[in-house]
Amino acid sequence: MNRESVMDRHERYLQILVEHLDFAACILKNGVVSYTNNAYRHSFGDEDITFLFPDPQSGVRSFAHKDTGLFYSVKRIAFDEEFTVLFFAERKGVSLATDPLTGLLHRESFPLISQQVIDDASPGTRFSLSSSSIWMDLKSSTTPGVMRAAMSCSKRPLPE
Amino acid sequence: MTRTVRNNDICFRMGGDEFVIILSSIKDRMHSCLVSRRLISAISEPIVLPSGNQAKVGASIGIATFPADGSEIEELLHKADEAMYMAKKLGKNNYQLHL
Repeated sequence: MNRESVMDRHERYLQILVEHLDFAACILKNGVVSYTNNAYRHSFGDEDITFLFPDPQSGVRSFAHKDTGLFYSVKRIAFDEEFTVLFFAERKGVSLATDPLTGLLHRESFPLISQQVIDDASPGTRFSLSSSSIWMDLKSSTTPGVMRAAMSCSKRPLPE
Repeated sequence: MTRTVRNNDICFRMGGDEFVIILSSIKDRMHSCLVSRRLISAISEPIVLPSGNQAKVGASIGIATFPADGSEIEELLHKADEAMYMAKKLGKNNYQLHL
């Protein structure tokens, strides 16, 4: 049996294994998606989200899929130089509540998601947390009514 | 804001005018600085209101990094807040790493 047919068989075995998983998984061949299982297609359709996990090292990453409101721990396992498998384990009980004004995640989601990110962080992983306060200045010609509308997303008291 | 960060970074509106972003798997703290500069630049683009008036928006950003600044989320959030207040003291449109 030549090397090519051995590799074909190797790929087919991987596909059979991945297809029978009851959670989303996909196979990357030389970094490009070569196979997705039913659960992956059910969760993400034809969407290729693997570019979000370019880290060549094996490990776990957190992934919030805002379209579905689901949160995943993504494990990447490199089998050899050619084949890598991504496993998407949905985190039950972690809901992604969205802020209706901005479409960003709501503060209600923060404790569980941030804790999950820490739990998923393997040794050597770094992530940063940026706290930002957004301020707004309006030109002096602006009328109070306009100012009120523009500051509707701010907790700060409106100027008299 | 979401256009400035990567798809797998996670943005929260914590209430009012306060936001938190988790930048996952960064190489070093300088990556957070780069994102902060991009964020400030994007946010500070003037906004023309329907009335024709112009609004200027800006941001003060504080950064804490896991695991260097803490291993608990409350600790990281507290340190990022402290850094954010330092950034505010430096003037408008600034960012600051927790030291």
